[in-house]
Amino acid sequence: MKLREHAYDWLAWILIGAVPLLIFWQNATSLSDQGVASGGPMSNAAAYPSIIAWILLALSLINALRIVAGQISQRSPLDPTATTRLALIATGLFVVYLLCLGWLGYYLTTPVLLAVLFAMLGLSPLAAIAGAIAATLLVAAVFEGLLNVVLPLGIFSFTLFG
Amino acid sequence: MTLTSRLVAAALGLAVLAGPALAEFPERNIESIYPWAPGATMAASQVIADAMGDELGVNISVVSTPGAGGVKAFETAMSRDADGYTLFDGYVAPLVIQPMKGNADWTYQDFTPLWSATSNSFAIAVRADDDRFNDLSDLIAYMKENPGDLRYSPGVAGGIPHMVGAATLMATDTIAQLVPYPEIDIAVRDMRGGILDFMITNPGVYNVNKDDMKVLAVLSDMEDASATYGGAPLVGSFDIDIGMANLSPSGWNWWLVRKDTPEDVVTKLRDAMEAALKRDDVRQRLLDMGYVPTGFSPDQYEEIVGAVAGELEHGQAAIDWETERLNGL
Amino acid sequence: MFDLLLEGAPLYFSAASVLLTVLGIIGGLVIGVLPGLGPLMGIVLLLPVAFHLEPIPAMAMLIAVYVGGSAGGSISAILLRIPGTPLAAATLFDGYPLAQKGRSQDAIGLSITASSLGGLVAGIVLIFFSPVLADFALKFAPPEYAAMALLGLLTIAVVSEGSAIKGMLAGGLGLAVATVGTDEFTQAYRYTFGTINLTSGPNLVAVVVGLFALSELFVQVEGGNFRDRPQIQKLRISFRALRLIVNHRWNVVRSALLGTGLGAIPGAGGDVSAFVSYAVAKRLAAEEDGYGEGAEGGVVATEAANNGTCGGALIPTLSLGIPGDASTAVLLGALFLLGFFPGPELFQYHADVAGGIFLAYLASNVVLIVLGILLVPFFGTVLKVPKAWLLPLVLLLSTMGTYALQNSVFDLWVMLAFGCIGYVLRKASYPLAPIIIGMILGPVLENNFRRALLLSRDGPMIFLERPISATILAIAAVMLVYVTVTTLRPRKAR
Repeated sequence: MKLREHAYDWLAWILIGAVPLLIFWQNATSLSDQGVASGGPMSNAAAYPSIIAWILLALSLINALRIVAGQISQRSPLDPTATTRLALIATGLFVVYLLCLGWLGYYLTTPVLLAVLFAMLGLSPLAAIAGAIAATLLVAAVFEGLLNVVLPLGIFSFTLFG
Repeated sequence: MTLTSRLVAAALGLAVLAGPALAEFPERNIESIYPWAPGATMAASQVIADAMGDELGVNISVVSTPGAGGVKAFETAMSRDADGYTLFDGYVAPLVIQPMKGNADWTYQDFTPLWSATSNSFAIAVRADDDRFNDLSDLIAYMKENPGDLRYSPGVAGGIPHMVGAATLMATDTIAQLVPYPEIDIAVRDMRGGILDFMITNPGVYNVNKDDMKVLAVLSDMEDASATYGGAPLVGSFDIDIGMANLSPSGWNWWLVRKDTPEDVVTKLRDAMEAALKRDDVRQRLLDMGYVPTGFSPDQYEEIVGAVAGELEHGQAAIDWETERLNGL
Repeated sequence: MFDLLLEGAPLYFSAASVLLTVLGIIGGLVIGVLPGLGPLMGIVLLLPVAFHLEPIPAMAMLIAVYVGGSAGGSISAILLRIPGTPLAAATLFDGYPLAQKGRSQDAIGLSITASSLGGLVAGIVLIFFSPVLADFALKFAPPEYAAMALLGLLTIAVVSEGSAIKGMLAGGLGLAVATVGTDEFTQAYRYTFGTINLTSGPNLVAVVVGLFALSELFVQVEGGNFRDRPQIQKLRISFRALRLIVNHRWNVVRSALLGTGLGAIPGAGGDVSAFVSYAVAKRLAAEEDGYGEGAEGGVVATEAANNGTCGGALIPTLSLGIPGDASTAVLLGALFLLGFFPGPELFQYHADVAGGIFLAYLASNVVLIVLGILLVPFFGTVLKVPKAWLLPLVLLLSTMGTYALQNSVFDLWVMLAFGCIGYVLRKASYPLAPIIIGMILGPVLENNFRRALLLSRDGPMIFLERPISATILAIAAVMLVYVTVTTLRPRKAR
């Protein structure tokens, strides 16, 4: 099966293959409950997505056969590099940042995220902290001052340029 | 501030030197949650927001939050604090129609009204060079003889234009094939190309496409409405009663805040909005865009919105009637 | 055709538009110069900013970034042998050897001037052809639009890099994502899984930023070398290229026209046209020109062609609403969100907007030649900024930009999810552009398909009864057969 050699191909296959199944499942439940899974073009909201789902399913099947038959030209093994772990940690940090963003607000969370990322990528602590604060303020000035966006306020409802 | 002056100010670094926070409302920018995708209607809301912001000395940004027939915008605004920094751009759909259809669990009484902003009536229009129909009577006579042969679009299915369109069909016991379009602008193209026979238009679209369409009747009983369609006749002049009167056959919005907003904040917002809506330049810009400033005060909210809710039930009934007739063809 | 420009003039020539064109070109060049980023990323990062501007200044800025970004990639190709964007890959052949001969100044100057002039030639074609094509599209009704959307999507899936089947899977994924939200006909909630946040579908910008920017950031972090500062020859401002380019005038015109023509076919894209026009220039050149060893003509041919592609790609985008490549797909999305519908209506009712966009495109290319030459020393400096600074800043801009669209943290989760999807698909060599194009064409396809069925009242025969839609579908069928045949034929691993 050459599972390893085509690891990402199989991952992508699962990812895309799940879509038609989701569509069929929702058509049979949510859309049927709303009464829009049958009838003519005006009242049937499920028909067109079903066509897409069948096409995806057929293409996925062909693709699976191609991978099995070894007709995929590029290999796609998992092959982590020396810094893949760093990228994963950064992603984890970003998830924590998103979790805290709405709660603590832009001004408290952003400098912390940036400083840690800068330091992780090898900048000195002082440069990381100074750079993080400067970037936070600059982006805030542009978005709040120039574009009138209200950045996440957090529980302290704090804003500098609004 | 204009964009240019803002850019210049930023270039000089002035934007960074925002003044110290004042203890009094409003001390920061206000958001108005607008329930549709950007477009001509949003521009009308922005005109009011800008003028109101001038009065308050802050910026009011109109945030487009389309989805679920306006429900998403209301849900978004509802999740914010009741501090007056979030306004609801309360269009009929999320305010009255969606709760009526059971898609939302609030009623219009769950909000504190500011002022009513604008309204726009709808009209039946055909191709400018369509000589089959010189007035509304011709159109109705044709549909009576050939039920279901004509095709029409009210834009989005289930909206107010659809309700008034269906109500007109029901009142005259005629039927035409419904073809919905998410954007009414695109329906104009297909009407010109002969794919559609008539459409329910709004003044904004009529303004842009004047040369290509002929308005047969304005679906309203308000004399002002006729003026936004170059003086076209009202539907009542053909002895047709569509069963919807006053504001109910039109699109309109009423700006709102959450019910538990402090009274002094509400007063400030109301005063600012009143001042903004009374400015001649604001009124003129809105009229030029095809939107009639309504000028209803917060005290009239209960009476006007309450009445509309009842009449829209009639519009919904008309749509159901239409669906049944179409299925039976 | 000139009345369009006249109508657009008052709209375009405002302080804001001109200023934003200048800023857009600088931003585009910088982002093009930086390896790994590119015009698409530039447009994506500035989209949120654009939605807070008036339509014409907003489009002027995005188009300037598109033009600047397409041109900027050649600078790093010439100096470092790393193309800043895939568009500049063909510029390596002669640009780098030319720089090795100590003529990096000339190489960059030529690439900028050729880009700019190529863009201007394409601009003229664009202004001439778009209204003609739009006029023809007036005959289009729902069946034709559905057929056209299908054909556009199929072409992009087939022509984009990687295997056709992966292209089609990516396009189908885009179509599936586009069905999420409120159904236009029944007003039912479709695939929203009970959250109000999905009732208008996942935000297009969040998806684009996730797929392209976040996945790229991850790849860049995996790449390591965060503090490297490349060695670069000292660069000064020089206008010599303006004189040199005169020798290559026919090369510029020919390559630009080739680029425009290929760009106008949905999916062909700048990299393809750059390689094609390089090959043509090489064949036409004399032996002693030394193509491949630092010939000026090689740089000129690729750069004129890839900026010509930008103008070409705008033709179907503006006149039919069918994007030419991923960047124009996002530009198209921007136009939608700013409240304009590309297609015949744009030219008929918003002639001033169409004219303004054309002017913005022409002005971008004029600004490009001036700034491109004046800022050469600055680009040398930009190339020396280590990734350690760059990557977190791109992350911050992507995040706040996406947030600012609807002030929604949910959109950021969407962005992150599509970042992960984008990474996996990228690793498995799927093309990402068809996803975006599928998302944009999805509603066009579905709504017109269902509308056509409503109009016909007796099923799908309406698609074959109308000559234009039947023709378009026939072309699509031929393409599909061709792909099937080539896919089924066993291929040797590359």
